Amino acid sequence: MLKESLEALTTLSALKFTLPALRAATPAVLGVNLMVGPNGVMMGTRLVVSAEWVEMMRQLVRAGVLSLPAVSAAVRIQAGQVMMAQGHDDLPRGVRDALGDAPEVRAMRVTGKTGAGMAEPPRHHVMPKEHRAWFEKRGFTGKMSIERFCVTLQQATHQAIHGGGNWKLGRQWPGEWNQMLMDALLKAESRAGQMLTRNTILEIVAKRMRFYDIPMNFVRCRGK
Amino acid sequence: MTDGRSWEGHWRVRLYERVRERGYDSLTAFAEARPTASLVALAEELGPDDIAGVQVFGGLLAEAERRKQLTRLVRSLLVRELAEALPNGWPAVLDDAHRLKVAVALGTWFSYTPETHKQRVDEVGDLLLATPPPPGWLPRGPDDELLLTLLPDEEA
Repeated sequence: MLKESLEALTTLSALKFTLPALRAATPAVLGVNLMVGPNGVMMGTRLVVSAEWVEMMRQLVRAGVLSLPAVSAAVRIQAGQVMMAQGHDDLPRGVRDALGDAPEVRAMRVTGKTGAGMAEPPRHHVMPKEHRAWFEKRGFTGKMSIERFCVTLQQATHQAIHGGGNWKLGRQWPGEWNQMLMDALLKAESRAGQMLTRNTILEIVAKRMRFYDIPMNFVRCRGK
Repeated sequence: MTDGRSWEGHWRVRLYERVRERGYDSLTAFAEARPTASLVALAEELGPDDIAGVQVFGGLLAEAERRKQLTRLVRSLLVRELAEALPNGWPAVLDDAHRLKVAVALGTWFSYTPETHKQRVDEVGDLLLATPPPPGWLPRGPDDELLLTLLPDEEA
């Protein structure tokens, strides 16, 4: 249910409520018919989202991974589903307004480090953009610009690439993508005694992607 | 295989399950039994569709750090790079083509090296280019005599 709720986040307008501590003695009123009780968020006698879910959301909000409006929206969508389950084919107007019948589908923003939108996985520059000039000088211009060499990554892969894959090695981890690739390229070039060709660079990049098991499905870095 | 499945699920658990299934109690033991295989080849053996080279690398590094055998691991990583780049061993003549192969191998080795060893690895690279080893030299494992001279164990 959690995954579906998050994936169903399609609205930006937020109910203005805060997630109160569930230890509150009296139920807090959230919006039309929604109340927070000891078991979770209730609509009348029906449980909309459980206390555990709320707690999980609170952690994610506190960690900056989700924004409060995103969570509000999820709760409201869930509430809408509960109401539909009760056979409310046509939502009363007041309730629809409260649920925020928002316009176009727009993914909620996840405020995590990657700054990625909820529905859009991050696009990762295979050749680090901080070294754009270096790559340009070696032939990565025009149709071969580094902007044509992005890959979309699932969150887990993205973390693994940059964060050390959970081995908790700290400084010992040389496997951070950008660092490792540039080390290999720069050192190879210095040892070769001459500028690397574009083809050699691509070979090294391809080897690196194979090493990380990242499919070479390149997409443009900007835009769709 | 590069189809991205290596990152699904609990890959560290999976990695170690595969190692144990093959009768080894550590990644290091599994890897040392295949001293010249590339990290990608090790990964492919453990799981052609769902284990990545970098995962094997991370595991080896973590184990080596725990056992205080990092320098040995660093030597073994050069062994693997040279086996891949120079299957006939060190070239008799360092022409452009061979020099590039050596350069890429040394560059990759450097990129795999943890921060604590990068300087020594750099010096070894300098040395190998300045005073080349005998033609055909191809270390078979981390206990190769020349390698041990270049990069001796220094840990307690």
